[in-house]
Amino acid sequence: MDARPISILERGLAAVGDLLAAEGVEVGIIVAGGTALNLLGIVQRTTDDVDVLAILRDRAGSDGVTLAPPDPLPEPLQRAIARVARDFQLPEDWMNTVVGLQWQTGLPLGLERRLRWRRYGGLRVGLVARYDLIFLKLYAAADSGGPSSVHFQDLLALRPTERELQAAAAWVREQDPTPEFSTIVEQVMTHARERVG
Amino acid sequence: MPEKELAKALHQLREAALGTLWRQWGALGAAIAGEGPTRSIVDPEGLVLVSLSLAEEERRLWDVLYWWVKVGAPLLSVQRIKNLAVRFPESTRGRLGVFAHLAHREGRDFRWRSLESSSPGKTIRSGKSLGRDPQLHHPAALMLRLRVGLGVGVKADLVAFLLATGGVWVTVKGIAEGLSYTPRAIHRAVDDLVAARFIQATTGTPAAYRADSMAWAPLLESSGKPPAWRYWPPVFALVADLAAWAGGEGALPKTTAYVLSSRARDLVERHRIAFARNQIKIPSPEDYPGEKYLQPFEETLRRLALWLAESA
Repeated sequence: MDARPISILERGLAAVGDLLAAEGVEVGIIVAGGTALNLLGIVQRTTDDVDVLAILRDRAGSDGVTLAPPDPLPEPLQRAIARVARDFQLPEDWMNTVVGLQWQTGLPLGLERRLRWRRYGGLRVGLVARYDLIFLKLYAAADSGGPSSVHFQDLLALRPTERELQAAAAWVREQDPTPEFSTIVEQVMTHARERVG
Repeated sequence: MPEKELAKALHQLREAALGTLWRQWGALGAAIAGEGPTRSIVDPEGLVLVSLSLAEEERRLWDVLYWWVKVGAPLLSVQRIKNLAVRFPESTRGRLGVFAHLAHREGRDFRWRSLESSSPGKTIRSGKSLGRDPQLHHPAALMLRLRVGLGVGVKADLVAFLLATGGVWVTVKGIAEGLSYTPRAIHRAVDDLVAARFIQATTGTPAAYRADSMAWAPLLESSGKPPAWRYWPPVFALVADLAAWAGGEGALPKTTAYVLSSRARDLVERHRIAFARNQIKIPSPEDYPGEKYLQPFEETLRRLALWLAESA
């Protein structure tokens, strides 16, 4: 998939919201990855796609949300994604749920309370907060490639504190409890400490 | 305000389409005011379907449709109108049921029973006199005239199509697409017409067919070439879809520019064949992402309106 400026993907989100509103439908999604980093202003880089980590099931109360695995995405949202792909010449999977596999081992505790919400017409977008992105990016960096990987670079851009790194490492080790993986996590943390300073 | 410009372009197209309809009905003999010269062959089923599509906005069309029920319904092909109706909006198909009801009950034509609405629920004005019989000797009425002479069916339409396409060689596929009959029906008809020496065939594969307009001229008592062939049904289906979308008088649904552009893209994609068959050059939707397509779409509507004015 080609990387594209965030403005194009944000335009796509707005277009999806317009289509949902025209249908009189409201859908909530939780977005992680490069799109969340960009929209939160943490990085300014091109990104491939919109990673949907979860969908908003319903409001559990005035101060809470209930998240659910994103597969399958609600039908009106699937239709809107396909239509926007056609209308903006985007790949069919410009918004996808691959990152939703994270539900198999669990999400960082309390992630849903720290979400940063945006609204695009009928689309509510919960951006994964910086704190939780540190967890997810540390895991991704340990899981895929060395210091040159985009995940490691994103982790540096998040400028984690030692305390945040330790909390993230504890969660990441729960995802893969093997000693080999624990060693890799430690190496990534060492690199990160050196670079962040 | 892109919506305002779009509404204006839709209005212009609607006016051009209505102008086309009145000219064509006039060529068939309806006593109506204001029709101009007709430059192409009238497709009777296409004309009925698009008239039904616009009849709610232009109530006078019910008068002419009612007149046609009385004098011309037996000259229509029920099978062909059924084939063509699938390309038209749901609302048009509903009104076709009303037309079929009238053709059956008042035109005493039992072929229409299969399309008849059980309860038409519409009062049609019936007191207006629009002429007595269809005018079959107008050059634009060639399709109907040949149906009178050869019978309502594929052979008459095939001869009209080949005469009006100016003597060029056309394959079975091309004829079937042009007339909305099945290739199988066309195969059978061309074999008979070639055997009767009504039309000519090439010996190559795939075989192609043509009609010699000079040879037909004395029989048809025509002095020159027949009017041109235009692929009216796909254009009329687009006009009907646009009318259904705009909800009459260019009243567009209230939504964002992007959603309008997306629906516009749907319409052009669905009716691409209308432009391709009639060689109407339009901006390609793929070249204009998102709402940037709205302006090219307006241009598309203007070109279609111009084509209608020049081709009818």
